Amino acid sequence: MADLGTDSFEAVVLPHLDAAYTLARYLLRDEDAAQDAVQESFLRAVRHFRGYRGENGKAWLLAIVRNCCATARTRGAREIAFVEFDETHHSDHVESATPELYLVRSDAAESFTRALDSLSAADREVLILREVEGLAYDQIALAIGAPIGTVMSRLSRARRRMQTLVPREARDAG
Amino acid sequence: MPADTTHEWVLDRLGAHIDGELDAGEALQLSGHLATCEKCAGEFTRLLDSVKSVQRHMPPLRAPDILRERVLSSIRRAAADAAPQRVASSASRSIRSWAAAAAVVAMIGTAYVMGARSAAPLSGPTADALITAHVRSLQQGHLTDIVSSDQHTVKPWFTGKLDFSPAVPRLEADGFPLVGGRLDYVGGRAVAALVYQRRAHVINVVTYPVASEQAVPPHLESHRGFQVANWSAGGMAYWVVSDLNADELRSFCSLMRDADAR
Repeated sequence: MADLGTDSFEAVVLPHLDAAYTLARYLLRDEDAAQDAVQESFLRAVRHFRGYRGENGKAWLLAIVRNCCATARTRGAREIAFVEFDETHHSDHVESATPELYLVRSDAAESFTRALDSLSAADREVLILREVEGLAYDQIALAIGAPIGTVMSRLSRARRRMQTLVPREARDAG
Repeated sequence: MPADTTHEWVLDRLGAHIDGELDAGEALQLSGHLATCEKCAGEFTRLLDSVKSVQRHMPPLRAPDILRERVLSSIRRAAADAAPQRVASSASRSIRSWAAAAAVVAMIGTAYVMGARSAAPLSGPTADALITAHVRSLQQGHLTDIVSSDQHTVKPWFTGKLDFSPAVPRLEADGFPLVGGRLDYVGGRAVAALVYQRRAHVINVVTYPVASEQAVPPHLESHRGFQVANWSAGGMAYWVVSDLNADELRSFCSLMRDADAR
């Protein structure tokens, strides 16, 4: 960690904090859960940095974030029944920038959100890694641990669905 | 156009073409087909429109400063746990590991922490400014300037350093041992910071005089994973920040207020 060379943790992994947050935020759609997942991801990244072999640092980190988000989702499903309602805390969420709220509240936004929701988790994840994170196909393959052919077929299916389900006028409006 | 260019071959590769994932030969072949085939060119335009619309709807986000700080602080703790304890001190075990860790992550954290600090508001403490100060106190081995569990050591230490003298209640019997105190600078003013502990959780109490003697009842809110409480009494404002759970922090606050009123 004291090594400040180009292969150090701070040079390879830390610059991708925004990317990690973006992925967690879009996958989990909850501010607190996303922040926790990112924090957990960086902890795991520090511990496993010895296993980093000079591949793309962003894809390497996002692979960890993706796994943490999957864990958070299964845990979240169990815990949700026990969450105490706290007005200050929860009203915060109305103001916070959930991905959905980037969309203008309109029919356009609704059809976009519905289309996104209708994707399988696997297809949606590849769509996010490509359209939002801007990863190349081989980096997406690294991040999700699947062959490039799988990446291409999921991406193409997701895009076709978005194209079909979001009407043209809705796209222009958004 | 090569003989093997079929509509199907082209349609299968429109996405990869948009993403710049085709090799030069394939890209050329595909462009050639699009230039002459109206139907495929129409498909390409519609797909491109849709892709751009998705990208416009889902912008990349920026991690909040407080998350940046939390991440750096947890990396630091992980590094400290992994590294052998080299710093000997009379302070508690947790203080020792913070100090050791601070050395490890100082270089990683500097850029981020500096950025976050300069963004802190200057007029009156906000929850964000207080949390920033709280995290900073953990981060840089600057939790305490005076390490003592004795209020008769901590209280006089502030004399001459500040133009007021903070009350330093003893709460260890209730499970909140005093760790020490420090001078801090929050929301543009010098304040006394008292540091208490509950298990592994640090509780920072920031206090300073206010113009009005009128008491303001306590208010507790959860802010980005931290609890922030404030009240004023006897001409002093109190701000409490911790990652301790709300219930325990609430009882800490009432103990503080009761002690102050005595």
